Amino acid sequence: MNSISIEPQKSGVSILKINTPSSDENFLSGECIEKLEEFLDTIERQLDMVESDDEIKAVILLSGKDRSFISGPVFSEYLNFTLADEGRTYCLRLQDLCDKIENSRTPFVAAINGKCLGIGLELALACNLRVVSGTNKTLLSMNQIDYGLIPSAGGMQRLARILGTKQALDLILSGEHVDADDSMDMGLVDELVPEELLLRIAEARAIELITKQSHQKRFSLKGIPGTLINENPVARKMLFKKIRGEIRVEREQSKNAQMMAIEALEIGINSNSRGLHAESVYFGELAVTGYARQLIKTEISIQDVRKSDLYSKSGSEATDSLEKAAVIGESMGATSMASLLADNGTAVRLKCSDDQAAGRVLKGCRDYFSDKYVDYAQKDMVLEKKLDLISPATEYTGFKRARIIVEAESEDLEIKKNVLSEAESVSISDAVYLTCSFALPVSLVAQDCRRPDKAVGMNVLGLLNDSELLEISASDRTSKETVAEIVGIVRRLGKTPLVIKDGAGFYTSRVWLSYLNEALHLLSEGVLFDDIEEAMTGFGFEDGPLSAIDEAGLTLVRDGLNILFEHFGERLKPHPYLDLMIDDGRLGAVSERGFYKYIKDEKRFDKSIYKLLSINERDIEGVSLDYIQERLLLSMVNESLICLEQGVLPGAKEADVACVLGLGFPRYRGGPFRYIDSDGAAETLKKLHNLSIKYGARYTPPPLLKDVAVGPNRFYED
Amino acid sequence: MENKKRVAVVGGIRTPFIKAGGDFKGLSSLDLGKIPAKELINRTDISPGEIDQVIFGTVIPTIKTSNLAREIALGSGVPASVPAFTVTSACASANQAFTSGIDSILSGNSDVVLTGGVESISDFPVLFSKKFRDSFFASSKGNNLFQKTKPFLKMGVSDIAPDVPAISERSTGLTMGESAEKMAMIHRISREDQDRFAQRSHELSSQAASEGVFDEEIVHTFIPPDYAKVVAVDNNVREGLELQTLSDLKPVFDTQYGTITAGNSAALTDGGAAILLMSEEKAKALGYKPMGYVRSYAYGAVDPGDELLMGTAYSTPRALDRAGLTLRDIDLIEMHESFSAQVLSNLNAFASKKFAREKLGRSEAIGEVDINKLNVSGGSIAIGHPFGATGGRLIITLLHRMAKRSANIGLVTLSAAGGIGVSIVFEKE
Repeated sequence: MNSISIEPQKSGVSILKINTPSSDENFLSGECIEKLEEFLDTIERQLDMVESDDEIKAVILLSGKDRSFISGPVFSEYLNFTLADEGRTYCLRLQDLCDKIENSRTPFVAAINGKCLGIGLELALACNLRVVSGTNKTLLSMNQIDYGLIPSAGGMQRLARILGTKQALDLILSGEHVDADDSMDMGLVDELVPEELLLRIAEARAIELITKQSHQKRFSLKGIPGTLINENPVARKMLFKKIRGEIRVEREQSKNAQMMAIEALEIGINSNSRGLHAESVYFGELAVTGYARQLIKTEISIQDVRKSDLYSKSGSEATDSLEKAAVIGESMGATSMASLLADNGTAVRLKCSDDQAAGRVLKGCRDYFSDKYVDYAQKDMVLEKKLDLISPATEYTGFKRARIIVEAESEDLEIKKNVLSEAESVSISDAVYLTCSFALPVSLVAQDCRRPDKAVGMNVLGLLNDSELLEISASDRTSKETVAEIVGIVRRLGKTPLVIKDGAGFYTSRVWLSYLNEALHLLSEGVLFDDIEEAMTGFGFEDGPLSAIDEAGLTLVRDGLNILFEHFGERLKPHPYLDLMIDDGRLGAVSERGFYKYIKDEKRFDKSIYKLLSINERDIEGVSLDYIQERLLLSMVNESLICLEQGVLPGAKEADVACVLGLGFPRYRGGPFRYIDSDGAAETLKKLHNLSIKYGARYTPPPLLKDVAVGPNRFYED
Repeated sequence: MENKKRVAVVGGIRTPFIKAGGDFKGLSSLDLGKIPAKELINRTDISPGEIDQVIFGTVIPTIKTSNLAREIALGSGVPASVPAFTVTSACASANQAFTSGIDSILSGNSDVVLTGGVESISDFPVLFSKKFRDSFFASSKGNNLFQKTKPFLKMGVSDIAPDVPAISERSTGLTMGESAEKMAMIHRISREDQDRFAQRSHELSSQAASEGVFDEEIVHTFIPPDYAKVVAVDNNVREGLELQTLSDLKPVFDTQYGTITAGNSAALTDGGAAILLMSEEKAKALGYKPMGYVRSYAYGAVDPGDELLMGTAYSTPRALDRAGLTLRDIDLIEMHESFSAQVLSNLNAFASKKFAREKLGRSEAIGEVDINKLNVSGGSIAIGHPFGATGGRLIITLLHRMAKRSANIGLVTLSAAGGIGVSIVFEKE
């Protein structure tokens, strides 16, 4: 199958259809660029010849995919750039392509449905008109900054001409996704149409452009006064200065890309050609930095895991919708599962222990939807429709039609076993049973049940709605069909499934709890509280580990560690600080007291902690942030290694993606195994060995690391 | 009756009945329909795709959901491909929805019908006066500000006053209460008898509630937006209501000679009810054990200018004839109590040979009602009366009571405004 096809219409308009082979989404490959270049040359040549009947009078850029116009470049191609010059050449080629589209005597119309990201938006901006379908699939973004890069095809300047300098910079620097309605409001696109009419209207507009002959409608700034005020040299200069000053990014590398984007745009506004030159030079430089390359590698890994067919049933991809599900419990996990399911159109029978508990879950779901759809024009209607799907009960009724049953009871084996046997007696026998936990193995929960082959575990350590990852654990008795079915369901819910081998704790919980526990060890060794937090936010985590404990709740962390301790021994023994704090009523953010005090929307470090934990403030010593980072990361790394050795995960790539998507591991660091590779396995082995001498067995590396250290010395080939 | 197609009642659920302006004041008619409908679909585990038709009744029209049944269906998970319509017949609206469902099944048009009735008296619409509405219409046709404003300038102050929904009978100008006064006088129903009957209603209802008799039929209703308040019981029922308390109340409609008080008439209430009907074969094929079957039903009607709320005395003998039964064969009766006076007048008429001869053209009286079979867990005076929903409650309550007793034949009967009466005969097996 060709990635680009040309379909001439009777009207003289040709449809240029982009269709990346064997993929749900379109990505602009080098081959694709080449085809586009050839096509443009052909139509230019045609125009120079005598008029003929099969002449292409106008072109519509259309996608052959349902959810993607063009979702970006083929990222793996970017990894081939080893010299800045190679990136620059690539950039010049794209600039040339877009220029040709823009300056072609044949009008171009972009008919956009689905994701139009990065280079996709740049191509669309080069067209004379952009028509978008008004569905929630449509998303436009200049998101190169997410990969440590800048736009590479003159898109920044085109964006500034259409939106004005300020708004263009906002989009470029934030990488913000704009939906169909907003894109119309801000003038990023020319027309918003129903999905069904997209092609017909695009064609009509293309025909109008042929007859009008004047398709050079470029300056569409909102009104002359606005232009005079904002788009004069003095105002622009002030704007650029202001925005430069506002950029406060923790990491130098991401600041680079932002500064370069600003720089290139500023030059481009004064001189188009010099701007394009600057853009290409900067792009080339950025593309070979380790920062951008790691971001790209992480993106590739995520895409791989997302579409991995490791667990899908071969040939029979379950596409039918999930009509009904049952959710048991009143935990956060129950609330987020109920809202996630209802959000995706599944009817949910919610079973709680009493009315008050059910009311709280309903409220939680309502709050979730109100937040999520706050900007919707039809917010009340959307809210009503979603909530209509959830019906609360205190008995096991309405379970018979549920294809999956989600149990999200408290972390207690006996309760979980009882609920499973109760649920089994009221549901259809082939319903998939999902037990939510952060540490209990599904094999234990399902050990006495009738259909252990239908039981799987699911990790609910984080908030499901926030995380893209759903970790599923399959026991030895779980059937392949069940795994395939649940993987299909998770995908339909818009999440990325990661299937792991069942055991105590899920992969991410083990790594996460080991990391949090180590932070407590550091605290007890006399490391300054703020230093621990700062070290990890400096590394790129959203929050420090002690904030994270507060957020998760201290009981959850302690109970989780206790279960792990039971199974894995000393290594994961909960730090005594947890008990001390829980006994003092410091349960974390939920109780408004933890390591921090929570007053309204603010949190402040609670100094009385030192007294409670008998830490003598005079003993606190300054250690370097690097040392703290290393200690905490190596605790994650070691647990990851042990998981891999135990066969919990299929490989290092899955582990890294799980950490990035599930734990907020910084994308530009890639994950624990990328972290090992950055030092080399041998070096990591040495460090772990030294730590284990000083701090004991919890740092003892598994034999796997030794094998890698004496072998390839790395987990990834690239 | 052998080999005849029968309609089975597979399940029925209602919301608690709550005094107007109370806990349900934030819920619309639509909400009060969706809540029991959703719960019924859940409790019966029916696949919504099996439902062929949705029919709901309501009295007070709702502006934004004129086909209320359709909105209830869509909001309850019934597939969009299933048609729905809304009926209205005063207090018999839910019964009308129910019997329309029966007809639909017996005629072979449907196998499974979701029916019910709802009323939100708290959420009644208020109309602008006719003059005001005319002005709006004229204004909308104007092209400029002057033309748009002009129609309103012609209005008088009195035109601003809103029209509230009619509570009086249009053809007679009498309110329901006034009609009930008239009945009490004609049938010589004393104030004391009325109060005693009202007290009985409260006593039986509170007893039934405390024994958990209603638990199976009531869906616990979560009050948005916080869902912290959950309503699970009818809040109009008063435990230990003294006769003296009722006697102390002043007549409402005729303050001089009247006997009708707030105590011996049904209170304004919000609520909803949903019932799932199936053909007998379908119910068996899907493996249901029906609560009961419809044996027959009939409507009757009287001149509203005569005795407005006597409809039940006209519809009952017809329904009994169609069932091939007499009143003596009935084990349990659920009769709607709009007023004590209305119930007692009808019971008089049932027992009266004169009434039978003069009004019904029958030689024998319908029969004496055994009071121990009537409204055994109280009635509308105590439980409340959300107009469009009451008919549904009577059916649901009757079938739940029949299930718990050895009763095999039951009767639901209701007199409605407009002079309409409806009677439905049920059999357990």
